[in-house]
Amino acid sequence: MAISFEKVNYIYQPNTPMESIGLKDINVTIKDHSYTALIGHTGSGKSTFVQHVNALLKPSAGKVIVDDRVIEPTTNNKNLKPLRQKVGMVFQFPESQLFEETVEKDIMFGPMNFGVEEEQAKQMARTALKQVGLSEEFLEKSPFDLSGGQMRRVAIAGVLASNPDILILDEPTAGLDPKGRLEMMTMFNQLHQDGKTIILVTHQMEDVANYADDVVVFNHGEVAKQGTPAEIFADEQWVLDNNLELPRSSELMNRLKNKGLKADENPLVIDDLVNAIDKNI
Amino acid sequence: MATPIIEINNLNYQYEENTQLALSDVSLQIMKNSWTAIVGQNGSGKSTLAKLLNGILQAEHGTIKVDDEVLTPETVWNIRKKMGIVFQNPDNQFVGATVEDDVAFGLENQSMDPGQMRVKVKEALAKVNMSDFLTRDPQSLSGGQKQRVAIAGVIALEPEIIILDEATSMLDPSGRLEIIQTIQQLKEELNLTVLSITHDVDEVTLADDVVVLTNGELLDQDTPEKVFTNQALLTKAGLELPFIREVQQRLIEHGVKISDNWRNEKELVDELWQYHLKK
Amino acid sequence: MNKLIVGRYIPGNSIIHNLDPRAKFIGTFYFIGIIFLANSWYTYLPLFLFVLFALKLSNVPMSFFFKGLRPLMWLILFTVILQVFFTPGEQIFWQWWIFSLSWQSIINGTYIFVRFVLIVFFSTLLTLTTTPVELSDAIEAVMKPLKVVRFPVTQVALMLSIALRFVPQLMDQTTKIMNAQRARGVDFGTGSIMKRIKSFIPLLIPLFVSSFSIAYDLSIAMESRGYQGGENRTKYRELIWQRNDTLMVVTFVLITLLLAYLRFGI
Repeated sequence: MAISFEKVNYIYQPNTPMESIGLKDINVTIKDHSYTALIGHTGSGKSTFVQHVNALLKPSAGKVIVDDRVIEPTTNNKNLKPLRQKVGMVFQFPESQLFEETVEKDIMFGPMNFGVEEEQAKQMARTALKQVGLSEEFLEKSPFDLSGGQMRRVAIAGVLASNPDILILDEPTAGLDPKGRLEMMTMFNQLHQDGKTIILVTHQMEDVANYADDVVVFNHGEVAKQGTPAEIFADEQWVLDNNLELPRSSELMNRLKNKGLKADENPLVIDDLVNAIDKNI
Repeated sequence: MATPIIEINNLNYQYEENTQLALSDVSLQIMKNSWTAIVGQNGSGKSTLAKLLNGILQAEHGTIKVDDEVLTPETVWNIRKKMGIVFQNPDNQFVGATVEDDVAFGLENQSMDPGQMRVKVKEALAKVNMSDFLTRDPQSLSGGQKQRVAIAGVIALEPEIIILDEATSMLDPSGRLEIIQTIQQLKEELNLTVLSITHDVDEVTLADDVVVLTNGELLDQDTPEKVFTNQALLTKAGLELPFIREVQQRLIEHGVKISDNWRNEKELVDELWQYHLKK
Repeated sequence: MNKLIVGRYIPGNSIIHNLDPRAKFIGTFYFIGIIFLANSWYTYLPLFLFVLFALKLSNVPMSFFFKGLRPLMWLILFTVILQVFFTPGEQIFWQWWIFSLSWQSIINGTYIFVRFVLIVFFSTLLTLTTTPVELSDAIEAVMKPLKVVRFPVTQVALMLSIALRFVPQLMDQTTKIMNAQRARGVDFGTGSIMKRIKSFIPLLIPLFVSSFSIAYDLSIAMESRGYQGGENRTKYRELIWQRNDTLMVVTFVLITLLLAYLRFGI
């Protein structure tokens, strides 16, 4: 399930006084089974980009190819369901999409829309609930009686239930406490190891350093750079120029190097930082 | 620094739908002109405490004294004048249709004369560096900018205390920094007492004083250095270590024995450099 | 939603933009009133020129006014056709069953058409050049006399301005929830009527839930900033009557006199 964008442009509200550019000449390939982080300042085009992957938006020019499905400006709205079943999308604050009487019904909603029989959808709901770390006793509860963190898990289960190959996560940990954030990121990492392609939109450079194997940097609707986290964070000045920041480990190491410590390493995560300090100090 | 501005004694609170106390027997003092961080996991009672302070909720037991005035239904409006709150969601606390209208909202409530109001609104917006946004609508602002407007709305009322109720938790890192820097600067300029309810451990390290809550009980009140070097306390409260403290701990495990005598990342770097030179 | 031109403000700094919203608000209704005085080409002509002049002064491109006409086009056509075929006249030159066509009915139809267009243009001018906040101020000012009968004018005005403030936010929220449900396989607006209605439940319930949570947050925020309801609040926005506003009133008086003269000869 590779994804590729070929010369994609997107214009918001074309031919009105409010016209603005969303994406500009995007050429990007996201590999199958990768864990790709999309970073860039607010309004840089990350969210516009991901909405093209499941055709919530269609390019104003160019084409988007997901597996064997091509989305062009002329693509009509029919027959998009198979694509949307393959591409699961967790929006920011996904708990705001819950609406059913019970957790079970809400999780089944996606699979049922994609044409799965009721009995099988129930089974899928159970599996998804387990994946997000909630026990089966939640099935009969009303989603509105849950805590904020639990509601978010149920909403994510509602996306996972359709068993998508690609999972798009738009700042999935926003507003959670540190413990909740770690649990959630660990859960996504597990899903990645189970074979899903993960696309993570984030402002958290620590998450990029800890989990991603590929990074796309957006700036003003364009792709500024694509590479591994190590490549992206190698040049501190470039990172700052693009309104980003370094992971804390890189930053601390750079401060030590500026003091005069001689070291070749550029650690991204705390384990590597501690090893590098231990070795060179 | 030594005079308390908020005194809380034996505070209890229980939500109707719960059997457990949301706050049980909490007593603490907040010193004038201090920056106090209130930390604890979700459900620890932090938000309940903020709502009690502001008189949104009323305690079943115990007293709250703000600036020598006991909080009662009679004094609540007077106390609210002394205490401004910036809430978590930037959109849901923006009352006005434009930036200036929003800042003016609190002043209108005080029946201030319109001419005077215009002066106050301009002053408050200048203090948070938002003067150029006077007539903008909230839709065209970033999260950080909206929170700065909320801060302006609060300081226009010239409070003694400013409470940040997870005010940075919905912002991106640059927005978060924006707010922290604004508050730091205003605290000095206006001699404010800052009370910050937060999950952000890096924000906690900036505080003079940390209040640690767990399951509605007060676990500890101490300096950030003391709190973050007390492993048992951290485990009990379910708090994570700030990055720099974690680095120190891991280094000690590796046999790099550095002292505790530093407060921030810059000082840690100095400490490490000294360690390197001595070796 | 973006096709709806009524109620959208186009920023500008023209004389019309800067008129007192009360003057504009009352003026618009007054105009709709006096337009019924017109009944002939020589009474319609000055009104037509007056409207054209006002539109020109606003510096808003003409295309916006035509867009304002579009959603009402069917209503206008229907009324005009009714007028044309069912007005009895003296010189009937075509008749079939209950339909008849005369010079008179064609002329009447044309007048009705012009009247509609002028009314739509003029009220579009109000909404295009007045911000929602100004409009709600104007409405508050107009409602003020109702205070005598203990109508809570101040509260209603605040409610109105808060409602207007949250319209764009709720529209964003609507788009967001629609996208989230579309991603879960919902097709909005396809299939049978029942299916269409059903497909809106996953949109409406989350919208209600988030509206309530906004209302809850907002009420706490308002209270903590000292809002106690009641009438004791002052107002930050002061409406100031300026020379141009008086000028506008004078223009309206002159137009009325002219119309009265042209029609009744007084």
